[in-house]
Parts: sequence; structure tokens; C-alpha cells
Amino acid sequence: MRTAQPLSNRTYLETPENVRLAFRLAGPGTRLGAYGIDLAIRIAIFYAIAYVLTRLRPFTGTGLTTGVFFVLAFVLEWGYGALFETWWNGQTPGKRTLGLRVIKTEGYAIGFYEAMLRNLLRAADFVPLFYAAGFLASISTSRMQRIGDIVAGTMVIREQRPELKGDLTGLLDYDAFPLTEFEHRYRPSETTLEAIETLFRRRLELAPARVDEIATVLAEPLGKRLASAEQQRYAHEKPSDFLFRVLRSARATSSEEQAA
Amino acid sequence: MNKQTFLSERKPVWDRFESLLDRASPARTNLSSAEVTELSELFRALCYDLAQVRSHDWGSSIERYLNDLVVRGHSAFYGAKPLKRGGALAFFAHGFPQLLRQNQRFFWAACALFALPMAVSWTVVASDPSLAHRVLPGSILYTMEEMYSHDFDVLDEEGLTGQPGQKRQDAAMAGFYVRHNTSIAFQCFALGFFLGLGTIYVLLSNGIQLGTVAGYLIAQGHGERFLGFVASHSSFELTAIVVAGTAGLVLGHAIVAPGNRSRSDALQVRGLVAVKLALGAGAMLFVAAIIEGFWSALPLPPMVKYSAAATLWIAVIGYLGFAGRELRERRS
Repeated sequence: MRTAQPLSNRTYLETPENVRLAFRLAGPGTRLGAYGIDLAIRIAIFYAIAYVLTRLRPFTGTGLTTGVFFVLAFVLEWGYGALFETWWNGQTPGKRTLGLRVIKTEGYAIGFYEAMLRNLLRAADFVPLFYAAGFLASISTSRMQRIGDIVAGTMVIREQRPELKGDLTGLLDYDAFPLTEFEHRYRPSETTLEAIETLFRRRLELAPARVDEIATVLAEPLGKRLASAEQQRYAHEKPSDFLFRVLRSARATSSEEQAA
Repeated sequence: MNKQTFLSERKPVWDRFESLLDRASPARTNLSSAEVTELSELFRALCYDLAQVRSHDWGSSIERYLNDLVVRGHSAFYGAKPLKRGGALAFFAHGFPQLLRQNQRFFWAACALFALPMAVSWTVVASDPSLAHRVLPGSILYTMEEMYSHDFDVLDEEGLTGQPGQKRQDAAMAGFYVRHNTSIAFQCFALGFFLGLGTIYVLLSNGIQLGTVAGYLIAQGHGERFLGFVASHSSFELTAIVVAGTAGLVLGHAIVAPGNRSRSDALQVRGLVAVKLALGAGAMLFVAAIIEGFWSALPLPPMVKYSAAATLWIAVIGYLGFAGRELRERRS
């Protein structure tokens, strides 16, 4: 029996190397954005073709330019998405701009036939008006697939260039707590520390009052772990400073361990 | 080992992996064989690193970083096969007709859905032309009659509306037919997703309309000119519409009767078959459009036209029915 899965924009896949990979799916909103960009580009190309062919008309005659125009319009209508997704490994200009990519549900790159299939089936997704069927399909499948994706076995993911954020410049401005302040040798978990790190990196983008407001949520329970009542009051009054000092303490001890 | 030592030890390895990966895009592989071996070893090492990060509580940012790197590696290692050079040639030389014959029960079903209503409306309208108005609006029937009431070499500038007195535009007509007919064929295929119903509708309505036009024009006494015009290109055009219908029915059948597979698996397997058939139909319509634009309207004696048409029909039937047969037998 299938158990209900939590609503999520992620999908997971087990590789032959026995690793579980996570993929972030692109929802209908972002995909509509990419579609809009591609539509604008297609319209621009359409007019560019019309302009060039009108200029060529005196040399070639009306018949040839009109015929070429019809054929190019056809290729633009049915082939734009399929050809770009074949040549650019699952991306159109619109998808590339927004960091989206089409991949197989097995996690690898799509080929010519998959690209063709999912794009020809736009005619089914469009039914009855402006991608209504495709929208319904994408909000009711676990991998947010429109009809073309279901048939081609593809999904659209958000792709980010992997980046390891290690930059904590400015943390040395905060003093570490003396180790004696931590009753029971308390160490916050890595997840907690990462939450503080994220806040630390954003502290200059946000208003100071807002930073304190966010920090309170974590600072209150953390403050209670400290030995002295004086420090607890400090956690209450200056929550962000308090959190950053906790971070400094934790990072300082781990670098001491490293040195040892 | 703690997070910091792990990071400082492994980060250079991950950077090396990423730099190799950047050069190993599917389009152009610029790696030496030693580098490919290194890349595959690094990939397995990275998978191990990712598992290790997950077993420790080392936070989500490093896990996300490694996950994304392994995703890129996975895509590079297990990508689809690149298209073979000359693959298109092999496809049209034998792959496409073979595929169509493997799915011939769908072909004959599509053929019946298209040809029977065409034959019925043709005979009915030919005996009572007033019935044509029940199928098509009078303006279209008028345009059709106007088109076939005089020779084609004095057709219009736009090529579409039937103003006599100017030269016909062959290339313009061919281009128009490529866009118009192939769009209908692709829709006929795609709408098959809805249990095949969309495909059936497109086949029936096109069959009825074409039969009506034919019956009407013959009843109005333009039969000779009309049949001389359509005989040649109809070989490719009508067959291609049936092939597009075949593709749509293959798709619809995967949903209606997925057999031993799940519906989504059946769709993926037969969708791949169907899209190849649809692309074959598209290519046939391209040929049909060229014949229609450059040959069909030429003012030639009927005998010449009919013998060319017979040759083309035999060619189409021979191609779809027999191309690639020997090859398949030899292989099996």
C-alpha cells in the first residue's frame, strides 16, 4: 500500500553507487516565467525573420520568401523547445536564465527523442486553453510533471551551481564565551550552528532590529543553558550579539581541536 | 575526524572533480583516457563522502553542496547515448517503416477511422451535393469551387484565395502546406494522450471534410481537374495523416490498456515509439508539400498526372510495406 508522502518540492533517487540524491523540482510558477522568456524570444525571432525576408523579396520574388517564412515559422512553433533542449542538454534560453533544466526522472540528461516528445505533447498540455491540462497535471503529480513530461519520463529541476559557503569574515569581532560559561559542556548541534551562520551572513542586509527579532527565537532557549544569570540577561537583551558569540565559541573550540 | 579536518582534506578533491566535470560536457569530451579513469574514481569517492557527511551531523550546507556535485556527476556518467551520425538516414531507410509495421494493427485502425468516413461522405455528397452545406460552410465550398473551376497557372498572388490573373506561387504554397498539414498531424498525435479520443476526432473530422469536398467538386463537374491535382501528393499526404493517427492511437492505447506495466511506464515505452512515428509522418508531409507546391498544379495532360500519381502511390506503399524487411530478417 502506498503511504501518503509529505508535500514537497523535492524528489529523491537512489544511484547505482547506493547514494540517495535529492533534486529540487521547479513548480508551475517558475516554469511559466521561463515560458514567458522563451515566448518573447520566439516572437522576436519571428519578426526578425519576417524583416530579413521582406528585404530579400526584390531579389528572390514573393513566392520563395513566403514559402521560407512558413517553413521557418513552423520550425519555430514546434521545434524551438525540442531543438534547444537537445543541443543545450535540457535547457532553453528561458530555462537557462532561471536556472531550470529538463532531466530524465532517473536523473540523467535527456536525448533528442525525449526533447521531441515532451515538446510535441505541448498540444495536449495546452487543452482546452492556455496549458490548463498541463497545469492540472503538474500540480497533481509528485514530480510536478506536465503531460509531456509524464510521457517522456522527464522532470524539470532547479539547478544551482554547487557552492560551499565558508565565509565568516567578521566573526573574530565577537568574543568567545569562556568555556566555564557552558554548563554540562554544552555544544549546540551543527544544524543550529548553521542557522546562526546563515543569520550571521545576512546580518548586514537586514535592519538591526529585524536581526535581533529573528535571533530571539534561538537566543532565548540557548541562553538558558548558560551558567550565569548575567549572561542569560545578555541573551535576552542583545540576542544577535549573543548568538554570534556562541558561534564564535563553537568554531573556536573546533579549530583548537583541529590544532591539537 | 571532525568537520573542519574533513573539509580541508577533501575540498581539493571536490574541486578537482568539478574542474574535470566542467570539461566533460556531453557534447564535447575533452578528457584524456587517464582523466576519465580519474573522474570515475573521484565520482565514487564523492559518493562515499556524501554518505559520510550524512552519517555525521555536519549540517545541511555541505550536504547540499556534495549532493549537487554528485547530481552533476551522475548526469555525466549515466547520460543518454548521443545521437549517432547517420542515425536519421538509417531511421528513414528502414527504422521508420519497420516500426510502423510492428504497430500495424494501430495503422489499420487509424486507416479505417480516416478512410471509411471519407468514402461514405464522398459517395453521399456526390449523389446529393446540397448535403455538403451540412458539413462545411458555404464560403469554403465557394472558394473550393472557384479554385478548381479554371487552370492553376492563372492562380492568385497570395496563392490562397483564388483571384485569377496572376502567377501561382509554388514555393509559397509548399511552405504553407508544410506548416499547416504538419501542425494538424502533430496535434493528431499529441491529442492521443486523452485515451486516443483526440486522435479519433481529428481522423474522423478530416476524413469527413475531405470526402465532402471531393464529392462536392465532382458533383459540380470539376472532378477531372480536382483529381488530377490531388492524385499525386495525396499518396504521401493522406498516408502521413494515417501514420500520425497511428502514433496517437499507440499513445492512447498505453493509457487504456497498459498491459503488464504501470500506466506511466507503458506511456514512456510506447511514447518513444509514438514520437518516432509522428516524426516520420512529419517528414512524409514535408515531401507531400513539395509535390503539392511544385508538381500538382502543373498544367499537364491527365494521363501524365495519373501515371505519376500511380508511381508515387506504389512508392509509398512499397516503402512503408517493404523497406527494411530483408535487414530485419537477416538480423533475427
